[in-house]
Amino acid sequence: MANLFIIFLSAVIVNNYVLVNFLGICPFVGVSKRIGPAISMGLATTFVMTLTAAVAWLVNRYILEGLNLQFLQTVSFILVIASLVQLVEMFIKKISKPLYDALGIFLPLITTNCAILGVALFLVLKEYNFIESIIFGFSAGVGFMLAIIIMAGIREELELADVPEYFKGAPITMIVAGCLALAFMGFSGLI
Amino acid sequence: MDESFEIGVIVSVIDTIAEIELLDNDHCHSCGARMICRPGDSGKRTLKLTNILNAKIGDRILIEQSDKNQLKLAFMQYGFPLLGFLFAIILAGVFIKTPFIGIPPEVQQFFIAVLILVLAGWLTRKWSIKKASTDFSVFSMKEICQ
Repeated sequence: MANLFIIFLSAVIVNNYVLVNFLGICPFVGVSKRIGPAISMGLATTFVMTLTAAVAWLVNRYILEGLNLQFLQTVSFILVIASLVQLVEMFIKKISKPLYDALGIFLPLITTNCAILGVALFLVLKEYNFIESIIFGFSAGVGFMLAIIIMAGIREELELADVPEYFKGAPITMIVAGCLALAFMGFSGLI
Repeated sequence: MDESFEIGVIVSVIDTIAEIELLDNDHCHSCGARMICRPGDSGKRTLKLTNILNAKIGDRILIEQSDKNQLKLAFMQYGFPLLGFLFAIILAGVFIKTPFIGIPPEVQQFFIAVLILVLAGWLTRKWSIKKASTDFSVFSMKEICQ
């Protein structure tokens, strides 16, 4: 149990995917203008990351390792992620069209989120067991959600701040992201 | 948290329901997923809303998006099934330790968790149908743009 807690803490804070490993920057910047959509995006990403971790572990263990095809890991995991996102999209569309209309827009964004592929590759690299892999995927998603919510909160406040004209938009966003990354690097060595 | 807005054009009106095609916003052009971001059968982002403004085909409409309701939906759509999945897989991990007719324990655990996930999806559907009968909505027409 302590081992699972360490994996959780490590993926959420110490090795945060966005602010320490710099993965998933595109949705982090693109969907962090407001807190509401940021939380929705974070939840959607956590959902897909957790499922990806489970499926990727099974594919790696019982197909790739079984057939000695580890060199196909990256291609296989890309396929797993794309198929999974399509499946989730179809499922959501089937169970509730209004939900799909309101939140379906986040799913294509997740397909191109390299943090998801990062989770699949890291869990193989770190040789986690099945449960550890799932907790790792879930924690990475929570870490992504934490980063995107903090960013969205700051950007909402920035709209009220007196930012110089030439710093408005992308420059101030990059500066804030850099400051956040520096702050998160302060956690390194905690575990 | 409050509301955000999108602009769309009415493409059809049937009784009180208007079908609106959403226009790409500023962020769409710089988004990495723009090539595949076309939810819906028509390949366009469309919404069906109650035509409270009596708008006609071709009218540009300002659409209000409620963040609070979106958050509730996001939790029901992703958070609730995810919690079910995690709970099921951890519980299954405690009880299932040996292969069953040649199926490895991890695969058994995964299928049990997927079953719970589907059950959670079915409950979400029930909730969604119940909410549809009330005035709960994420999108609503705000005004006709000139």
